[in-house]
Amino acid sequence: MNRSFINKDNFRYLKAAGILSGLSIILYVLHQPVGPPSGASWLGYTLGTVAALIMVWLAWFGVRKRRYQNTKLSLNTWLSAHVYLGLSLLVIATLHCGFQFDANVHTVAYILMVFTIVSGIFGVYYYLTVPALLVKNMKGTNPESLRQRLRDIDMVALSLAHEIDSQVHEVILYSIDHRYESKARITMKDVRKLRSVGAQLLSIREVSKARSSEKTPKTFKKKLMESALSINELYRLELSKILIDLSFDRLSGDKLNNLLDFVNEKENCLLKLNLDSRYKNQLKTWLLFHVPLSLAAIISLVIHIVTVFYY
Amino acid sequence: MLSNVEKYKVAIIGSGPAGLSAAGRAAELGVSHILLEGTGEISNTINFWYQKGKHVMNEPEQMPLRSSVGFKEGTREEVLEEWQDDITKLKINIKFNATLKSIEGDVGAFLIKLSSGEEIQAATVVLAIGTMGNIRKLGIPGEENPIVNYKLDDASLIKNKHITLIGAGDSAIEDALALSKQNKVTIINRRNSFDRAKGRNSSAILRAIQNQEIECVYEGAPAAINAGLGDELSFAAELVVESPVGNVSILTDKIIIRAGAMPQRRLLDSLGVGFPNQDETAFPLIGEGYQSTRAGLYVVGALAGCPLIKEAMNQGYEVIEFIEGRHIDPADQELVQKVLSDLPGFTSVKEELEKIRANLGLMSDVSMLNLREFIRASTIKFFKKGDVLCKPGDYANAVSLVLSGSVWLSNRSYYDANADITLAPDQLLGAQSLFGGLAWSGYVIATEDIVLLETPFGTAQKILSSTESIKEKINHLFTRRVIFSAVISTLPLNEIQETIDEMDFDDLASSTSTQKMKAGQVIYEENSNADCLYLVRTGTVAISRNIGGKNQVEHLISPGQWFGVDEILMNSRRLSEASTTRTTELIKIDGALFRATIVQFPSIEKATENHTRDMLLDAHKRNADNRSSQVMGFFHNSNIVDGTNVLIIDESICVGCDNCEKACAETHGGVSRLNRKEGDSFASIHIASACRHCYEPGCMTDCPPDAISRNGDGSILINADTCIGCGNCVTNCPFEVVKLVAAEPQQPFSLFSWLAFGKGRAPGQEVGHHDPKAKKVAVKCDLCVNQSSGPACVQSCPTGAAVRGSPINLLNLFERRSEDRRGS
Ligand SMILES: Cc1cc2nc3c(=O)[nH]c(=O)nc-3n(C[C@H](O)[C@H](O)[C@H](O)COP(=O)(O)OP(=O)(O)OC[C@H]3O[C@@H](n4cnc5c(N)ncnc54)[C@H](O)[C@@H]3O)c2cc1C
Ligand code: HEM
Ligand code: SF4
Ligand code: SF4
Ligand code: SF4
Repeated sequence: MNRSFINKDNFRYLKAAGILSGLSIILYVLHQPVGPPSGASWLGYTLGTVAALIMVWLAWFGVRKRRYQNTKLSLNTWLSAHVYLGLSLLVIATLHCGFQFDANVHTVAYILMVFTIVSGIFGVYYYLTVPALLVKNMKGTNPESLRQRLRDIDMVALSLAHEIDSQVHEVILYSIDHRYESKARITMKDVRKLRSVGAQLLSIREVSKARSSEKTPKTFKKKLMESALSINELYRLELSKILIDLSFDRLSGDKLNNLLDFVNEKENCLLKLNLDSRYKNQLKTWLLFHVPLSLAAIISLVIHIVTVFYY
Repeated sequence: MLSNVEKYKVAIIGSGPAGLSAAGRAAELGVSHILLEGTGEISNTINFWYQKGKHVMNEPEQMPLRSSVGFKEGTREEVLEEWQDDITKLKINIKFNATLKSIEGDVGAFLIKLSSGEEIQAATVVLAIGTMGNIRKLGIPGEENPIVNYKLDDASLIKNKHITLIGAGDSAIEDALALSKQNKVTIINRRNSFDRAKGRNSSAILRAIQNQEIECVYEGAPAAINAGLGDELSFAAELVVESPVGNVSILTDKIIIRAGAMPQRRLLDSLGVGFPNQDETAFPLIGEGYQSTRAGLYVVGALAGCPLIKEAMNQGYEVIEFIEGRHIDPADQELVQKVLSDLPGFTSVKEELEKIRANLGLMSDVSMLNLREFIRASTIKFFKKGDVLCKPGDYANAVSLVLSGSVWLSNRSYYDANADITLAPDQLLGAQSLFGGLAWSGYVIATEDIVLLETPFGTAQKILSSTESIKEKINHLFTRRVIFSAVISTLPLNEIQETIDEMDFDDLASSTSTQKMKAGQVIYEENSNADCLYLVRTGTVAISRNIGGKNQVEHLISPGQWFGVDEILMNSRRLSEASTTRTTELIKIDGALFRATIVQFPSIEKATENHTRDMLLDAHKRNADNRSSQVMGFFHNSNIVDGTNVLIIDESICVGCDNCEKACAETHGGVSRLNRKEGDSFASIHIASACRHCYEPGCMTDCPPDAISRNGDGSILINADTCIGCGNCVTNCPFEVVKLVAAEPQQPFSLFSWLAFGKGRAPGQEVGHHDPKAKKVAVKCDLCVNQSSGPACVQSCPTGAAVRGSPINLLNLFERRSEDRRGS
């Protein structure tokens, strides 16, 4: 597991954040404010100031990440501190408001902050788990060589198919045109296209794609689940059907088997690539929440402070 | 019989900058001359080998141009045009398609024979044929057809044609691949494999052939080119190729012949031009006034070891002056004087040079020409008694000759006349870095006020290794130093109880022999007899053992380290197998003599034995851990060990954010010098494609202006100011990490405006557009010398996945990390 920004400098920033949070709790418990605990007491002001400063510093991370010249601390160190101090906000900011929530700008600011933090926690989760999955999925190869291999398979399969039968050739050609990377979903038009003998082969491809992407229409998935057959078995079945239909001679049969091996390999490549891009997306999508949320949190923080002092 | 032979005072062979300048001077002086050029145009190197529009640089800047022919910095075309004009203006007598074949007779009446059969008589001959060799032609009927080319300028301009390539080397393959994107391509390979080419190229072409993107005729010998019908519809020509399956006829639009160049050495040997050694790359021996060992035959330009245009032109001018009997000072007089005038009591350049030759044994055999070049590149340095010149771990980027005074090599950081370990004063410092890429193992301290001549590596290497006797002397010094360093490194120096001196190892050093080996050869086998030990001079050696039927690598031995010593000390058979991982030079030391020497120093003998035991224990531990042995094997196979500082990405924690590349681009004029995704991986260890700062940098081997050097910390740097953009380093780096880029100023970038308005360049965004005419220079990783915080890629990696360091440190880091992971 990745421990690099978790245990950076022997958990220095976890310790720092822990001390800060602990101190806040102790003060909060010991503190006897006039009236209910709130941001208006001296402790409230102190905790509020600390929390606001931490917030601004957390947001500054986005700027630091893009400053590459003569940086004193590595970004790795920054991230470690970012994560732990970000988490400590949960304690500090909550104590700052003294558990007083209401339908007002202050609570909105608080909620936005919490959302930012939660999205950050997701990020940490992905950062810690996904890279190892990526490596495991690729195991000894890499997307570039897989793509290269796909191109190679396409070429060889096409010429094999050509030697077998024009119908089979058409199928393979069609499957090349419809390479997974187009990212397009399966449409009804596609489904209708899947009716010809050869295209059944393709239908299985699309179904298997459905199985791996999980984003495709439910019906496909259902159909596949019901069929209880593995993808490869489906292939073999379909192709042997073609075989019988067209009453191939032995030679073509061997070639077809050969072709089938290529198609299977292609399927595996595709599955790996699909998984690869899914993992890579996971590493990125959470930031699409984290960054806007953090921006919104900062803006609402400013509004929160202005209103407090204005009134 | 000789009645129709033309007679001249000087015949100049080769119309490159050197030859042209010589002919120009001769014409200006009215000396009867002829300039013989083998090809149909002037200056074949520039005409043919330079890319169209190449920016020709005028280096070295300080050197004055002394020539009757002009030369300014500018594009290739401008330079050639100026020369063309000068040929007309000066009325240079030039003859094209006149390839020199042989020279008979003696000074005063040479008979020059050309390939065409023509003969020319001349009193003296100036050879200015450069080092690029002659393009190999096929010599088949129809080769003069204009559709036949010997190089490819821009593949993207050729579309929908059938192109035939002849050759199987890197250039043929690269052309074929580039052309196959928009054309039908056939490649004719004389043999049945492509393994003469780089690994990447040969696998790419095989794939393309398998995929039928490129057609290949193996074992094909082109026999004839027949012109086509010449109309729009048919092919331009037919190429007939003889092959094992009979004659093949290929209809084609264009034929590109990439059969390489013929080296000049054979021709020169047959002309009787003497060389210092058999090395293909050696330069001829040259005496006073550029005269070769054959009287009346002069050698100038690149062939004389002068790699730049301006110097070549100066030599061309000077050689005519010498032939005319005028002993002018060379053009570099002022530069040499500038260096030497720093010497205390400087008299004149001539005297000082002679003094150096007389007083320094090492320099006594160096030719004046070479000595001048040596001095020109050097600086004089002064040190006071007690000054520390070098510290352990420093890399020298220059060698220093002690001109006066003496230095001590010591284990202490201060000079102490009573120090128990002191070394004899030495004449040449830094040889270990020069030849082995090794860092200093001790301190170098001035024992009295000293004067040093400091010379950058490239120049030093070229000149010192061109003279056989110097090579031997340095070899001995180096061997003695390496043995000594290896011996004393076994024990912290203050624990050595005996007085020990480098000279104690003089005999041992004299008895050694060197052994050169190719990559992947076995030095000794497990269980064989052990009668010697080895020191790695250059290269790397893997020590492996057969465990459970599998050969497992236990250690990697780098330059300066020894191996096979355990068995000598324990008097046993070989405990393991030793093999080379790359081209390696070994120093073989006799076991009995070594033992006899080392018993004089009991504390060291004991330490060495302890060291041996530790090594064995360590190996045992590694064996228990199969994975770490595999990782070690990977380090070995991927040549990581060639580097002093390697960039590795721990894929198990890399989140693919590309911040490393962005950081690199942002700190280096908008062009990233690393490629995160390229490169080998093993499990989660990925060697990103970036400079490894090699022990023996391939990039450095052939840089005309000597623009590549080793920095004090071991890093290899390219000087953008002196680089002439020739691209040699790009070809010579085995890891393909050098690129040529236009030196364009980075567009400014404002984080604020990019964030707020999406305006301007994004941080780390690579500069896209280049002006094709802009001056191009070679760039690669410079370890962020300008960044106080170290490599920007490492600094900017949020997860700590990107790490840079020496292979051994990285190996340990990865072992620690994998232990951590198992522990958690
Ligand atoms: C790609 C590249 C870029 C470079 N860029 C620069 C730069 O920017 N600035 C710079 O200063 N230097 C540069 N150099 C180095 C420079 O080109 C050479 O140092 C220079 O050309 C040497 O001149 P020369 O006259 O000695 O030999 P060459 O220029 O090599 O000329 C030799 C001539 O001799 C002819 N010849 C050879 N054999 C025979 C024969 N048997 N009979 C008759 N004729 C023969 C050849 O056809 C050729 O015309 C570059 C080199 C390369 C390869
Ligand atoms: C209110 C609190 C927070 C704010 C304002 C904030 C803000 C930011 C900003 C601006 C970035 C830069 C993103 C980019 O430009 O690419 C960032 C990145 C990140 N944040 Fe936060 N953050 C907060 C809390 C947290 C918390 C609590 C965690 C974890 C538990 C966290 C984890 C991360 C991670 C993992 C990154 C990505 C680093 C990278 O890939 O470079 N954040 N945050
Ligand atoms: S450029 Fe290539 S050869 Fe030169 S030091 Fe770097 S990796 Fe080694
Ligand atoms: S650095 Fe590379 S491109 Fe530049 S002059 Fe040297 S070898 Fe040529
Ligand atoms: S900066 Fe680090 S995490 Fe990001 S791509 Fe580079 S190595 Fe991977």
